[in-house]
Amino acid sequence: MNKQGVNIVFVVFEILLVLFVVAATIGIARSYGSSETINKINLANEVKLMVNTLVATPDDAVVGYPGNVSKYIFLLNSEEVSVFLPGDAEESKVKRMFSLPDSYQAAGTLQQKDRLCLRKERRNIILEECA
Amino acid sequence: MRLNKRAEYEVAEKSIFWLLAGVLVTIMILAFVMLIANYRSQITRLPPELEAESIALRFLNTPECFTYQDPVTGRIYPGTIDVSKYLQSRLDACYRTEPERGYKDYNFGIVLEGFNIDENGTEEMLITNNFFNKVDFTLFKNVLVQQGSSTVPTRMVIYVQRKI
Repeated sequence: MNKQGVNIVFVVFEILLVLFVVAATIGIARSYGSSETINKINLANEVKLMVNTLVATPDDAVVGYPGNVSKYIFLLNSEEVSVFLPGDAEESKVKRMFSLPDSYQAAGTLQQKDRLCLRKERRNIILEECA
Repeated sequence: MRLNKRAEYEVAEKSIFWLLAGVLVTIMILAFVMLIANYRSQITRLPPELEAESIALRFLNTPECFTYQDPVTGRIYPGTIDVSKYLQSRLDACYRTEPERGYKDYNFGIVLEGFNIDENGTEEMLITNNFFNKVDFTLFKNVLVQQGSSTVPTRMVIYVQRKI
């Protein structure tokens, strides 16, 4: 085997490896740095706070989220709230759990509407588009 | 055809070099991932006191928990505790974390100063189902206690346990 040939093979291998590492690092940075993930996390945290606050509110009430949420889809049930974009894989959905008193129930969906409202009626918490 | 000894030496040297470099590069990539994930956690972090406060408010304001509700008019008195409702069973129905992994969530120990005093002279603490006396911080709420026809001012001490 020619020594020069071996060197060329190693050089090609080194270049490919460096390109791979750079591509992997940029790919990871882009996926983590996506502002949409951070927006989804913040939205889920805030809806969870809104649910807990409504539970602590005596009697009926309505609370509206002060922002445009038309990009996102919200799912609310008695155990958690999910926030995601259309077409998101299951692992990309952001979920936050909460604990309701025994007699309470929560439900509702909002699909790409501008304004989000949570309404408490007796012991039901409903997620819907603001009227 | 074989390589000469010098070439064989260089091939071996490069192989060892790239073995070590591969391990080092993998560690660096993992460290980079953890750095970014940590940064993202920091910028989306909710203050724990805010989360605990939003949960604990139900103990003072919701008739399904301890809040006094006039039996005749049905009016709810936020910030007023009905002493007849101040029971462990009531707290269990008001706030309960998941039985198996609820230690990762917020749990509370509640003391109503001057009430539920046991034979040792200490106030009995009501606790949620995964409270293990690891107190991260404490909330203090000035409340009124409705005891029969009288109203007594006191303080509700809420010990907060974050995830273990």
